[in-house]
Amino acid sequence: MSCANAAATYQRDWLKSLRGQILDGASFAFVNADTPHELFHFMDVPMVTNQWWSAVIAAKQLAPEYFDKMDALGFHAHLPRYSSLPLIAQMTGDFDRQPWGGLPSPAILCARASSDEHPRIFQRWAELTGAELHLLSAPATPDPAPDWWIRARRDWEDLYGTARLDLMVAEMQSLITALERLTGRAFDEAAFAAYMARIDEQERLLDEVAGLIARADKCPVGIAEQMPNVMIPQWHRGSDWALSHVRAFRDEVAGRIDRGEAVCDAERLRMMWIGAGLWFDTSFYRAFEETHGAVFCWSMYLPFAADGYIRADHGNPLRALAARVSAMNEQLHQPPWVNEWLVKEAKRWRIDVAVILVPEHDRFSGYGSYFAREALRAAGVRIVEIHSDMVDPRDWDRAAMEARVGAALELEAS
Amino acid sequence: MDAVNALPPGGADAFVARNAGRWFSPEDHIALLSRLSGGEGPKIVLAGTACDIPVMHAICDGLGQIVADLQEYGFQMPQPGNAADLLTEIAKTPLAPRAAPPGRFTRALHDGIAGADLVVASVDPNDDSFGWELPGLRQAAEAQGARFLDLGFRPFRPDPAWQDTARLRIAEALS
Repeated sequence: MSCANAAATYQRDWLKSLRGQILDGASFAFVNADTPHELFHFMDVPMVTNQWWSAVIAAKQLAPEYFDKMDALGFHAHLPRYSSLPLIAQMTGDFDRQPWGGLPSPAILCARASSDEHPRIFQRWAELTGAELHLLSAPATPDPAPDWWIRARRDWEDLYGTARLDLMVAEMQSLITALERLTGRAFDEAAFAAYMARIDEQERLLDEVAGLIARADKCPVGIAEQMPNVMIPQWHRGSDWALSHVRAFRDEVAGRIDRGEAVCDAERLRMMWIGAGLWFDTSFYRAFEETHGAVFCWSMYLPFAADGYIRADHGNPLRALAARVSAMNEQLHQPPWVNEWLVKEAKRWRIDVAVILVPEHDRFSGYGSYFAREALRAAGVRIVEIHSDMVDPRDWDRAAMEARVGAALELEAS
Repeated sequence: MDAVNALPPGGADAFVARNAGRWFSPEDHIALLSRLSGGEGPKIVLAGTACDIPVMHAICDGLGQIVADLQEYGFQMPQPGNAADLLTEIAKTPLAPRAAPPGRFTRALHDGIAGADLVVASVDPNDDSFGWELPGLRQAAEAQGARFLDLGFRPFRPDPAWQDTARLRIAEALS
């Protein structure tokens, strides 16, 4: 897909450019995926996302060495890995071996306390680099409505709760103050509202793409190509490039459907991949097309761009941003939100088989998977549960996993 | 109070004496503890994830004196009443696992091992928090001339074999 190549090229060039900017004295932020990236983008502070960088390191097949190093440093073997891989790479400091020359030291750090490891990991980053640390609280929602995606677009005040949103806004204002100090620029609320509207437009385009693929007779774009086309623009959301790219992605998908093009002409089964990407072995997603006519057509990244991001601003874009961020990770991983959402998506995308990646060391996302498993089974979806990791291939047995998924597909087809 | 007052200074009963503070006011607890005679032998600090049984104290019995137990069992006793007040008190506790910012926890942890001859760490296999402190705690301990022993994963209810091995390793570390 030409769009996917364009996205990867853009991101590679962007990081090279970032290094150049930093060498010239620019500051950059290192942040978790579920933080308000919008504030950094809007204030023109370049930003690298922890989980994206982790995936890049894993894709370069460097993760095993860093996880061995993690053990040697004295961190125990059951600590979460997805979010810690960049920290260990930074501690190791072998930047000449790291993708694109590694990361310089950031000026500012930001994470949400959405699970126990994130504050600790970012505290270690702060100690290592001396960067200013901003941690956002993640208080639980007392009465989480299962159908969050229906209410979240407009009725988010009631869904997430006024007290939680007040807290998130207050913590974001503290972050804004830090960004103003870092950049020497004042935060322009009117311009921010316009910027948030552009993000809303981007996510609505992605919502349109999700609808196109979900309704298509045969899947026109598999998840391996969806992911870069969705996530790289998400890391740059609201920018001219991101909007332009998402439009091109939408047009390319629509064109494929119009021309009757499919990932697998012999498609018989549709699969969903539940969990983060299998970043060290993304070719796994295509392993069942020729053998079983089975296509991975769904991963969370594309549909979540709509359900997780579109928030009416009701004249208060900063509060709308708080609504977007305040339960982002929980909606993707915690019951009742994740299981109900996955069942809704499985029905919309006509899913036959769901493969669930259970990352045993990332317990926050791993344990929520069990609720997803039971809910999807009850909805008639066949489940294959894979206990492995998004970035650590040391226990990954590709042949055994192919055999397990293949067996489930044969049962489903019989 | 009478029972706590009668507790010996070391071994498993020291665990009971410490955790009795969950039910007493700080003033009463301090007054009672001050009546206990000091222990003998090398000074041991226990660190790691929460432990709700006196197993680590029992293992160390006779090998040295436990001068601090930093395994978070719950510094605030849940009482009927205002849950918000309880949460506020927990948030103030620097050694609570979710102390914010987490640098507070690290500083309190390093302060807590002051004067130790040996720091013994063990963690629950499901730990997501304390494990991030282990390399830094080792450095802090060694910087003050203390030895550091990482026992690794501590089962929820350690069996006799695990306890025997732990005791042997602690004895070796102190030798």
